[in-house]
Amino acid sequence: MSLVKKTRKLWHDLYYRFAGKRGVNFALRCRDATEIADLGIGSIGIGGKIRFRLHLSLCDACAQYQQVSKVLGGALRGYAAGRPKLPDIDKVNQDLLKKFSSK
Amino acid sequence: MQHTEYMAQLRNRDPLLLDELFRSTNPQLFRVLASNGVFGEVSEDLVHQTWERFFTNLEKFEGRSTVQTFLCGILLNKIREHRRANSRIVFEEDTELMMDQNFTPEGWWKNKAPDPSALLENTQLAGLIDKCLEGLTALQKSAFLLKEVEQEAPEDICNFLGVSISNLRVLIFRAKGKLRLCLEGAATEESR
Repeated sequence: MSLVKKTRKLWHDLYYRFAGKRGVNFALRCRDATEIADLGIGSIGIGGKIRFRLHLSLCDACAQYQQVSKVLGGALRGYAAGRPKLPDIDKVNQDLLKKFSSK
Repeated sequence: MQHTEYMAQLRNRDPLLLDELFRSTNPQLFRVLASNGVFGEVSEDLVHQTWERFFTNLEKFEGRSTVQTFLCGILLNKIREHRRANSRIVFEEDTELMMDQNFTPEGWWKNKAPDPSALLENTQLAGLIDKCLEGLTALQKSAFLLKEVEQEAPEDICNFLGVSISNLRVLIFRAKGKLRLCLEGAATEESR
């Protein structure tokens, strides 16, 4: 087991042993944490960000989920960079204007 | 502008309004097409068809959603038709059932998320993505690529695709799960 995983497990056991139910709520549930990972942390407040980070530091599964998300995101951006370029949208707009405009 | 006034201008095909509408909407339409792997002349053709359908069905537009959402709905149907013609259709899924399969009623993972190192080890990841993206539904693909590649804000994606924020989260979650499984499978096949 890597040092990061060992530290996370120790921190997890310590937290859940002493924090009780109130603490568990504070650290979010996996379902909530993955929702933040999916939608991005841009729109949540500072409290939400702390809770999210706390959850990731406690939960190996969600930390891995976050890593998978980052890997997929990076790979997708790499894939998208090699895609054909978008067409000349100004020209399309002009064609559409000619086709549909009353004048 | 009032909805009735706006609709009257649309019905009259007011050039200024149309120009503004094309400029504001078409880049998004092309991004949705790109996120579904549709490029070049086909993408231009589908955009033309989308606007044609929009003007034909203008009376059905009641202003309950934005014009962009209405247009995107038409476009997604056009993409489905295009895929059907090319036999590449993937049907939408029961989203709530899918979430329940992954999380306990208390909200914890049922099965631990996999180790991402397996994905990182695959050096030809980008090359496999094209194949794996074919397994996603049009909506999943659009939602995921608009979020990850185009870096659009979740609220804008919801508005454009006409889905709720919780539905968007499910679409992205499912897209990630499918891609991960597909890439893992493809990586295993390649290593054989």
